[in-house]
Order: sequence, then structure tokens, then C-alpha cells
Amino acid sequence: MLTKKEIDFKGSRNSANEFEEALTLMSEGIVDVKSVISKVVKLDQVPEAVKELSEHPERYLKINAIL
Amino acid sequence: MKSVYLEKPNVIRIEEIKEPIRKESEALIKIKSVGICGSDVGAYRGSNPLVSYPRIIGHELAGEVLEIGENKRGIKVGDKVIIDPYTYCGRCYPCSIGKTNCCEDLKVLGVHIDGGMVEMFTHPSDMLYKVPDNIPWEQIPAAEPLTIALHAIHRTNVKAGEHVVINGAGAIGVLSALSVIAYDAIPILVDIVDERLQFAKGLGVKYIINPNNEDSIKVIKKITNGRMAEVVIEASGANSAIRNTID
Repeated sequence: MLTKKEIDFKGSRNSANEFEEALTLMSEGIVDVKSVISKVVKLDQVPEAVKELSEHPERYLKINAIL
Repeated sequence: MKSVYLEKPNVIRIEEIKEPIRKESEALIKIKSVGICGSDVGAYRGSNPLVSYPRIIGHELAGEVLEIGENKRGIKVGDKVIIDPYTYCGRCYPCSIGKTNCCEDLKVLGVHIDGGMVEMFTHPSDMLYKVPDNIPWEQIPAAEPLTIALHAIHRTNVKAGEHVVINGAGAIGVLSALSVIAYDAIPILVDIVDERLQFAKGLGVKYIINPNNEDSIKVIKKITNGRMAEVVIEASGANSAIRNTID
């Protein structure tokens, strides 16, 4: 299949030089990250939130915390 | 000050630690918001072989600069910043060609070295980005997973009008789909959890597929008029999904 379709494989590790574009997309409302934040908690609640994400990954996309 | 401290797999708590002292090349940052990543959960479970313990977790970090020296980005005291969490050596071959994310001595916050789920944090000044004022604190950490999604679509050179299959409708998969839409391309999101797919559909992802309920190859053929997708982004880690990327 690789030769038949001449498939290119590209690895993608973390990121480099992408923050400025990410912040622009967010600031201009082009990508609404709010939609992936399922819940916002306090720092003290992070250990419980990590456990909850580990036990019920289907319930959340992201949990963020504010200090 | 408080920190989110992972003593060993499955043992996590708030732990008091000393406040950091800034070096000349660093900024002192009052952390205002953090994101919990799947890799933090992996560190908690003990399923990430790169993580050493004990470890303060956290690499999706935003805060306010309290102290900073001269820096190339012109960041000043009081600025709202996000932290680039992938520290690199700057000397190896990958670093020399700008691929600092592939550094031979890459040290990721919260993975190889202590992360930033703390009240005060020090970080190299040149690895901070000033954040536009209109992004609320609780959303800023999400810029980090968004960079992961953008990196994937830049690596695969996604162009307008192309179909992009994305395996996995977790945070990275959904952010990838939203980024694909931002590039005027068409995402096709694949996951085995219906709730996640329905959620993504509500965000404007028109094509969703649950391979447990339907033949994904057939459905993609239909959506693309037999052409199949120009790009497949694997964001699930599931073996069967990885195999299907080439079909």
C-alpha cells in the first residue's frame, strides 16, 4: 500500500514555532478553544480532577484550572 | 507555595514547596491558569515511560510576568504570557535546523523536569509568548494543545479543499478538526465514543464516523467521491486506527 499510493508518513512531535499562530487564531475567534474546555477548577482541585480524568476519560475533553 | 505533586504513579496531591529564584536569563511568572493534558493523566497512571518521579506536573501554563531581564521578545513586567514548555539544548543537529521540538536532549515541563502547576514559576525569558488581552485566563493554556494540532496540519501541509481524516476525538483531535476548518479544508473525525463524535458535530465538524458501527473505509470513500482523504492525522494512539491510516 505504501508504494501503491506513494504514501508519505510524517511524524509530528510536540510543536515548534506555533504559539504565535495559535494565539492569533484564538484571539480572532477563528478557533474557539472554549468548546474543548469541559470544566474549570481551582488549583487545589487539580489532583481530584486528574483522578477523575483517569477514571472517566469519556466525560471530558479538557479540564483547566485558574489560580 | 502550592504545587501539584505526583509522588509516584497513582499518588497525587497538593504539596508545599519553596518558591523558585529567578536566574538572569529567566522570568519569574505568577501562574494564573493551567490546563490538564492527557499526558498529565498518563503520568498519573504511570503509563508514560518518559516521566520520572517524583514530578510536579503541568506544561499548559499561563501567567503574569513579575520579574524579567532583557529578552529578545520584548516581554515586560506585567505582561500576560503563555509558556513554551519544550526546553531544548540549542546545540544538537535537530536544534541547529530549527527543529527544537526534536532536540536530542529535549526536556518537557512536567515530563522530564518539573512542570508549572505551581503558584510561582521561573522559565527562560525567550520561551514566553505575549498573549492578546482579549483571551480570558482560563482559555489561554489551550493555546498549547492548539500548537500541537497546528504542527500536525503544517507537517502534513493541509490545503484548502482537502479532506483530512482525524483518528481520535479527544482534545487534540477536536482542536485538529477546528484547525482544519480554519484552513478551509474538510475534517472527517473518527472515534469509537459516540458522545465525543456528537459533541464535535455540534462544533461544526460535518463528518463523523464511529468504526464500531460502520465501515469507516466505505464511508470515507463515499464522502470523498472515491478519492479517499489526502491527509490522515492519527490522534488516538489505537493500533487499529494506525493501521487504517494507510487504507
